Amino acid sequence: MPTPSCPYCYTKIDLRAPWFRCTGRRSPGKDPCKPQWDEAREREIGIKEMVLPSFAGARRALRAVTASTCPHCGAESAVKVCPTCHSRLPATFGEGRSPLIAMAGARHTGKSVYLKVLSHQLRHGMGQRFGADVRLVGDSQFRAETGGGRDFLDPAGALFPDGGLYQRTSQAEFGRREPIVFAWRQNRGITGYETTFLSFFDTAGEDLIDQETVDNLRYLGAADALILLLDPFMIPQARDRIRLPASAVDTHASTIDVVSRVTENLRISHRLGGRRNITIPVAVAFAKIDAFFDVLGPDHPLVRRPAPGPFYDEQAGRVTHEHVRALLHEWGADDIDAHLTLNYRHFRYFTVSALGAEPDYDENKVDARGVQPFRVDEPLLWLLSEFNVVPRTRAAR
Amino acid sequence: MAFDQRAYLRDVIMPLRDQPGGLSPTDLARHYAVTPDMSPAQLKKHLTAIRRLWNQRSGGVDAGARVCAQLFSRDEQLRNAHDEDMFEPRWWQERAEEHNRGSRAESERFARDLARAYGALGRITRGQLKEIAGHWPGLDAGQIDEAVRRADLAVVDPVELPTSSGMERTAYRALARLQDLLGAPTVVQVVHPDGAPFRLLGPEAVALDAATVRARTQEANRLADAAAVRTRKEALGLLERAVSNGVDLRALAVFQVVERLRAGRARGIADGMLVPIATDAGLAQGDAQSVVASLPVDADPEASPADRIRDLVADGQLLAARQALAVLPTDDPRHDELRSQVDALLGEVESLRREADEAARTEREEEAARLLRSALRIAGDDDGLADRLGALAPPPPRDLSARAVDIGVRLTWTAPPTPAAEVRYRVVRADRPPRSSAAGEVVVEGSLTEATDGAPPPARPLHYGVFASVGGDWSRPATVRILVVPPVVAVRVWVRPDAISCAWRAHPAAEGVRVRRTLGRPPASPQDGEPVTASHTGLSDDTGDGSTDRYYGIVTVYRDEHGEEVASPLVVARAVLRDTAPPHVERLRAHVTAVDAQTATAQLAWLTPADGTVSVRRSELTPSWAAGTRIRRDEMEGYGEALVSDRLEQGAETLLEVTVPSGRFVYVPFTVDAATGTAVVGEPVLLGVTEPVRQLVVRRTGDEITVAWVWPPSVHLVEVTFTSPHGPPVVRRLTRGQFTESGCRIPVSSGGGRVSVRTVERGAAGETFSVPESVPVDRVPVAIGYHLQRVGGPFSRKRLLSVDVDRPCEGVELFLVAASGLAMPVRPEQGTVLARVTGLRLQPDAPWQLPFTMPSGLARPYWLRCFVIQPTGARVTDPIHEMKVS
Repeated sequence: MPTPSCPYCYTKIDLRAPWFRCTGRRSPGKDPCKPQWDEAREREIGIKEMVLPSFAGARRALRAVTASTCPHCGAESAVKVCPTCHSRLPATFGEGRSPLIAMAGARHTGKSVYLKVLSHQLRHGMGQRFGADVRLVGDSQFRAETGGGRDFLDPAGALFPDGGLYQRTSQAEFGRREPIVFAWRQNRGITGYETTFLSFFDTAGEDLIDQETVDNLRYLGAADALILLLDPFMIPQARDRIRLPASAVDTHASTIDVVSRVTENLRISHRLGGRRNITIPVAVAFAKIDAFFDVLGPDHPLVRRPAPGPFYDEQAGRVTHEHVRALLHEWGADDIDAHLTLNYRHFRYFTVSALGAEPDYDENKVDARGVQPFRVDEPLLWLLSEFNVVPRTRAAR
Repeated sequence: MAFDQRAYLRDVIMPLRDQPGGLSPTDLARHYAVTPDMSPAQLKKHLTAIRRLWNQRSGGVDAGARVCAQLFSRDEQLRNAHDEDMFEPRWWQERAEEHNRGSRAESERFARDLARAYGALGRITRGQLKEIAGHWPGLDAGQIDEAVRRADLAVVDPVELPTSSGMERTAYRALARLQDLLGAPTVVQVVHPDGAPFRLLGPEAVALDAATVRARTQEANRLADAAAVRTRKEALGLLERAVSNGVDLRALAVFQVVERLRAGRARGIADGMLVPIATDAGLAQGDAQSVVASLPVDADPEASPADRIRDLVADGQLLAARQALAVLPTDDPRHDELRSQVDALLGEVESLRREADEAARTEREEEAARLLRSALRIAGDDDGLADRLGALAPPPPRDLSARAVDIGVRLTWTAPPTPAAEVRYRVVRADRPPRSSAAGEVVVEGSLTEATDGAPPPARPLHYGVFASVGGDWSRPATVRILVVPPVVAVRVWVRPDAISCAWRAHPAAEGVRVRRTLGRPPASPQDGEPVTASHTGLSDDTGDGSTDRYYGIVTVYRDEHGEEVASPLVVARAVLRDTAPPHVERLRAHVTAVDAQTATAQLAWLTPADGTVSVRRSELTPSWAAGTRIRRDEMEGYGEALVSDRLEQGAETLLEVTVPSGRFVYVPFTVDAATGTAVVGEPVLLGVTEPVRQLVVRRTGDEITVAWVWPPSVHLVEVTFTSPHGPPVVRRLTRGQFTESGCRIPVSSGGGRVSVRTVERGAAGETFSVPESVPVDRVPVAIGYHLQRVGGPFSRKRLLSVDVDRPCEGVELFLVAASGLAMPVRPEQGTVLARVTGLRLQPDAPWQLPFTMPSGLARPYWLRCFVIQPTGARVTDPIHEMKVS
């Protein structure tokens, strides 16, 4: 099994040398440990909070080390943490694949909204659909599960309870922001139960405005897969086909420039020369597709939903891919397609709409009828099918 | 000075040769080449020489000979009149003065005429001036110039006007059609739609080169899609192709202006008035004047007769083409070709007509109509075909169904597949399946696709036939058979201490009513129980032991046409004996349904109490008495207002339906004991109309619809009903949480329908509903799928196109296109059309197939894609995995 990465700080974790966090329980004759500022957490993932101290456990020999004794208070702890950022790791971490899925896109593309809706779908319905137990994991998520729901970005909260949209995701400081981590546990038949951890990192679009900030985004280099969210409103010929309020269009960003910067970052972080293409799967999702429903008509393949089921619909995926590619050429945005074709070994186009209806851009409110997500799960399902987490229907031959 | 013959012929005779106005009668000095300085002797010698010349030359055959003959003839007359005077210089001086006086007057007249004829144009071409000046032989060049100046005209060089568009005829006709749609008089407005006047002549001519057209096409491609934009893009595409084929668009634009001018001139419009025609077409004033001035007089270079025949054929005017062909000279080089083309099309029309007759005879009206329409596309001027199509009966209505309802038989059907906007129906009832619209009793005639027969004879098989008509004959009928055996209706039961009465209403044609009684349980069948004597209207029975409920199984009996007995379905009435009834009304069952924004209908039910009468009262306040309290009657009457309406006893219950205002009210049942003047209070029920949903929208995506609305703040449950023309309504309840989780998506059938949503509020006593909000759901268009299979070995270029549909579909038009490139084509013009098929009639489960061969030389990767042009809006499923060849 490849060395897994921490789902929070994206550094590799040596499972043979686990770290633990003290439980704070009293052991005979010693004072218990107390929460204290953890500089590593602040340094690595920018979280400034008091936590119980972390310590290195015994190095694994023949058997896995599942618990260790705190050198300060002598209490035994089985709470594993990341040796680098001291984030609490799920108990089953390291048993299965833990793909890190990064999300990138220009400013104003709707990444945070998309991630919010995708998280909501993961927590509601996706588990039932695939016979899996899908749960949020991690320190902040545990808090959110119990008392969350106040923040727009809170993955455990309700879906836009007051209809308000978030203004803008704050920029990552030196490439640090806490990712959202899901545990996807299901019965794999002969191999028994397996837990897969999905870590989503939401970037601020500002991070991708110039090459310098892109270089800071360490997570891009560590990602096993990428969801590249693109805004069709940024394509002039696509934008001309629909009626949009001025506030819906951010003309400062260029789609091809953002894609190029992400490509450059990936090439550098994966140490790829110019002769080889990037190997990680990239789901290129065009957001806000609901704005084009009327233009495409009710029977266009991009407007139809694939039949739901406990699988990724490969046939529908291919149809979508080719139709999006045709539209890009039709809209004079074939440079995006050419760039992806010539730089990525494996990518696929998707069309999604997190909100399903045009929001009030001026008031930052979702449509009064509520959120009607459209095909938001497909990019993730495709990536999961690439990692053999979910099955896929075979394409027709 | 010797007479120079050559110079004379050149300077005098030759100009006179082409002068249509003949010789000037006064310009003798020029004709005789006499100069003022000649002496009499010189004059004599000169005149002798010139007369010799005239005499010699007048015998020839050229135009100069004619002039010489004319001069010689006039000279004879002059000689006779003046003889020797002609040798005197004075005589010639007098003639010169006379000529000068006359020519001045003539010049003024010439100027006036020029101004009158060309003033509106302000321009005259050199050719025209020369031609006109020829009719004024007395004027010399200087005088003519002076007249032109006086008439305020500019002499211009004629513009060479194109006599053809330069485009291939079919393409040009298509371009003209698109320009009509765009309202663009010339191609200039297609390329430059700003509407500014343009120039076509000279260096300042508007840009119509290939680069401009390409740039404009790219601009148009970036515009939001609209019908006008599509049309303009198509027109620009034609122009781009024309330019690439070497067509000069500037000349094409001039040609289009000239076409308009010629048409104007053909209608007898004066040249001066042609200028506004040209400027109306967008041409700048100066160019317009120049073009009109250059317009040849000849001038209608209309299409040759052969071209006109081609146009008639292309326009679907085959009979007119046949007539035009009859007068086309047989030696015309295209006569034979046109003859064979017209004959072939006449044969095709005749064949279609015969096939249509055969289809109509074999009751395939839809096919017959399609064939006649195909024939009309070829020969639209054949009135016989149009009459035949108009008289053709439509196909019979479909999906006819009949069911017995309280007041008769309700018939519903679907309109026949016909393009006619209005279809009328006649419903006929008969003892056997009606074969014609007159074979039976007409039940109803109208344009609705449903009817109710209010008085069907019972207990005999009824055959209903529904005929359709679109103005001509009635169609064949759709028929249905039904046997109506009405049971008794309006059954009511009264239980008194010692007797039970039961009343009903039986059909007048009923022979009798049979009743069987069971005790304590409903009858299992019409034969179950013990017979009870009953009449047409009811029965009386005792109460038996006074405590066991009695059930009456009621069957209405009829005689059919053979005298056989026919029994109706069983109706069961229950007599609830009085000691099961409660002493007073304890609680109400209630539903409140909004009627509109102001009113609602309250349906209330309660167990009929053993004694007393029940008064249900409505108030905004909860009563101060506890349930079960006995109060004075006047106290009760002080609480709210009584609900007054007809009551219906149904078994042990009493039902009351009453209209109430919207809003929340408390309903309280009181059981009144008239003897003591008191009333027992029942449980109060708080009910109200709930707020309806707002901003209901439906969006169809594929074969499902997504329904969305704005929830009223206090509502958490809705009832969504999808009603389709066929099949029962689909009713689904949805909580706010379910809606938030997964929305409201409903599969829809092909016929579309209507979605209505009403909010539901549940209370202790029942449910209240809001006014339903509803929106229509469009029909789901036909689904067309296709496959592209390789035929032969792995290197074979043979393919097979298979097309299938989910329901019958006619008039299908397909383009099969091949296009190289990474991206698949999204429009037919982005590739090479391998096949174009029109007029297809497709049936489900019967794929239509077309073998074809891939052209060689297509660079890989390439795509094969089938575009469905007709019917528009079809749901096409592209077999992506078969389309791309890489």
